[in-house]
Amino acid sequence: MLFNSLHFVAFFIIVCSIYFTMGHKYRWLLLLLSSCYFYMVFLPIYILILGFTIVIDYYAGLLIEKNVGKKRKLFLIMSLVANIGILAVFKYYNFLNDNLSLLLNSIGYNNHVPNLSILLPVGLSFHTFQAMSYTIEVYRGNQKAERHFGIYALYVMFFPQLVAGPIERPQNVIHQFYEKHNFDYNRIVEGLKIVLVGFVKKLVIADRLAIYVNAVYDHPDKHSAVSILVATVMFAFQIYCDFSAYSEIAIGTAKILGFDLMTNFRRPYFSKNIQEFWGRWHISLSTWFRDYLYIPLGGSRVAVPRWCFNVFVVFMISGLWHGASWTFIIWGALHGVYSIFGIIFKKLKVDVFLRKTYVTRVLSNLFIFGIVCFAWIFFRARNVHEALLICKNLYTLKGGGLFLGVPASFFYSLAAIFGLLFFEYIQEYYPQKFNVFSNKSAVIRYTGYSLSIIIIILFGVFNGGQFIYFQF
Amino acid sequence: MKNQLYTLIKKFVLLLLILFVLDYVFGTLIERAFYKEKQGDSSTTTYALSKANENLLIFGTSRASHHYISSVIGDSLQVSAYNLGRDGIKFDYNYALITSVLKRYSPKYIILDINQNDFTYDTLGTQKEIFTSTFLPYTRRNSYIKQLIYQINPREIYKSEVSKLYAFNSLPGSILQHALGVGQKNDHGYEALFGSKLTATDKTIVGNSTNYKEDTTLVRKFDEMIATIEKRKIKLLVVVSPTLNKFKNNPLPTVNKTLSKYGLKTIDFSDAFAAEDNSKLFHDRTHLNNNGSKLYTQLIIQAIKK
Repeated sequence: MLFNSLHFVAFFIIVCSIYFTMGHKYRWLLLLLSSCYFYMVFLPIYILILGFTIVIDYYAGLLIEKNVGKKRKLFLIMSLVANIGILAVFKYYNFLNDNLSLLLNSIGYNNHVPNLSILLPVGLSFHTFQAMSYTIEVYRGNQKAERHFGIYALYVMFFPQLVAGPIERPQNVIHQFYEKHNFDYNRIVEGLKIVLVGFVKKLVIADRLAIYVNAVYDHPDKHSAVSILVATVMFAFQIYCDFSAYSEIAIGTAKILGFDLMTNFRRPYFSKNIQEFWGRWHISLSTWFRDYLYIPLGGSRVAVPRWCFNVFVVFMISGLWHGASWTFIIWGALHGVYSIFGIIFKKLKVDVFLRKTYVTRVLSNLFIFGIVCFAWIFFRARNVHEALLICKNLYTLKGGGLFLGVPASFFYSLAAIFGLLFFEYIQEYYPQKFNVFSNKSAVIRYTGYSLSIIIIILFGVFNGGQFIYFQF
Repeated sequence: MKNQLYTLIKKFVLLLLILFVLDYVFGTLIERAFYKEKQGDSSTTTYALSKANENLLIFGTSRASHHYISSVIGDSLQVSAYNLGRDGIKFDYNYALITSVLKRYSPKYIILDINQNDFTYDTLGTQKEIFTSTFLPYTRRNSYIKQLIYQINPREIYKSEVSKLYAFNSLPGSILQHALGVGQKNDHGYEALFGSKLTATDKTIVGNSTNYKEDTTLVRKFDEMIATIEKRKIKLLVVVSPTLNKFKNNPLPTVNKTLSKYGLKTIDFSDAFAAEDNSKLFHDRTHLNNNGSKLYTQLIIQAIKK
């Protein structure tokens, strides 16, 4: 079910109404059944895959807690293999098989193993990672194994964050399912405000920018360097608004029901170095990789070459997590390279120099935005060939002028970007000032709410479709 | 809980009231500005639905709006003429426009420019969306248009009933642009294209669609529309205007089959300028430039005089 649909609005109103009128004892069951329905709207059969991992990880958690020594580790490995195995089959099998075929063809052999014709279950990477964090935390002793099967299933399936995160940790969420959440006016209003911001970002900004980005990126051979540059910058804002909108709607809806989910984005394009960018972008995934891959590899408490290796491996895997394609791997590798340079600059104390003046801070900000945009080319392009063609067109400054598409829509896009930057600039540097939605004056608050809704009605794109990160 | 719920409902109702008022005020202002537009695609549609009273009307896609110099045709035939072609549309749009005009009056001549994609089946539903968004601003003032949208997309009618602004989604920019006079002005609906953007490869692209699927509902509507036009004794010319390259015209057999029932035939000018040196007459692969449209308009005048 898409958040940006009337279907979801009706579903959520019904769930909330029943949730707050029924007793606390069976609320978990309502949320679990609602989550099953929410997921099954996409493709019912894939609930079985989700059910399979839930059963495996539920019992793995209990067995890990019950046993000691090598057995404990064995059950953890079994759980991880099951989870990664499902990811490998549904997400990476065809990619690996295609590449194997290419490799074998290049040395004169044929690969007769057929590809699988299956659809990728929605949000597979998200709920698999969330499930894996549970067994790892039980193994580490940070989380008690959950005895209540329904609560554990709800931890994996909780509908606000089921298909695109934030990827939660069991310590943050499971205990909340046991707490009684009363109808709280202030919480509900806070949640609704977050949801409203999410809808503006998705419908007014992300889906509007997508019109121009798709027009250029679907035919990169026909567009000039300046059009590709504009489309790439627009994509940077599109993907940020699309994904952060999903997170905000997830956080807002969960808040209405009484749950606190982790923050997933903190104005990433205001970062002044690449480490800061990853501390602000998709925080739930970055911290997942930090906690479960980077630190176990040795993190930064090793020699510099090994530190760089750890960073590069993490980013390569992060790229692969996003999709089974070389474009995502290159995107991850680029961020790996950026981060290695970041480490070197840190060692040379260049970052200290860059933080000194306002001008150097702005330049660092623009530089980071520029290199992040360059990496987005690989993320957005349909294949490596097209990504390289785009780079070539940019590098050779291919002429032809600026493609406007529908002029009015192009100017809405520019206005949307400037509006977003203004809004985020205030949030970043003056968080206590100009706060329209939390203003003491009811007139300003209500003007803010109603104008936001009117902006959605007038400038929203209502056929924009699903969120980009659903495919992961 | 009861008190908190009561507060929530009270404030929600207040917000709805504010929204209702703002929606009505802004909606009314935008609607007025929309109906006053003198430029752009919407102004052509508005004109066709509310004001058009010429003796000769030209309907079709962008190929019609850029190919037929209505003032030249009108002067030559001593009749009033208007070009109602519009970019990015298909026959469903022309059906709505022609039948709507016929509800008001009967022009003496109708020229319908047939395009390659006019009757193509709308597999992805995009045409339905384009049709709905094109005509939604008119539903409050034109019950016939409202009925046509209701038949294919009733939900959108409900939404536009709830919100006056909804029908004008994405339009304020172009309304403002036209109010400021930015953009090309048309001459009785004709919009000239200047120069040529043709590339070397354009001459080699034939554009034959191998998996053409026809929309039988549109074909039936076409038949009904021709029957009404014939009944009103309006002189009808169904025309295919010039194309850059020769190609298989997919809808033509069906169009001719329907027309033959009424003793009519398509006038096919698709090959009229398909010579080796036609690049000076075309703006791009599918549209004539002002030089091409001048030549083509003379061909049309001769065809009408016949």
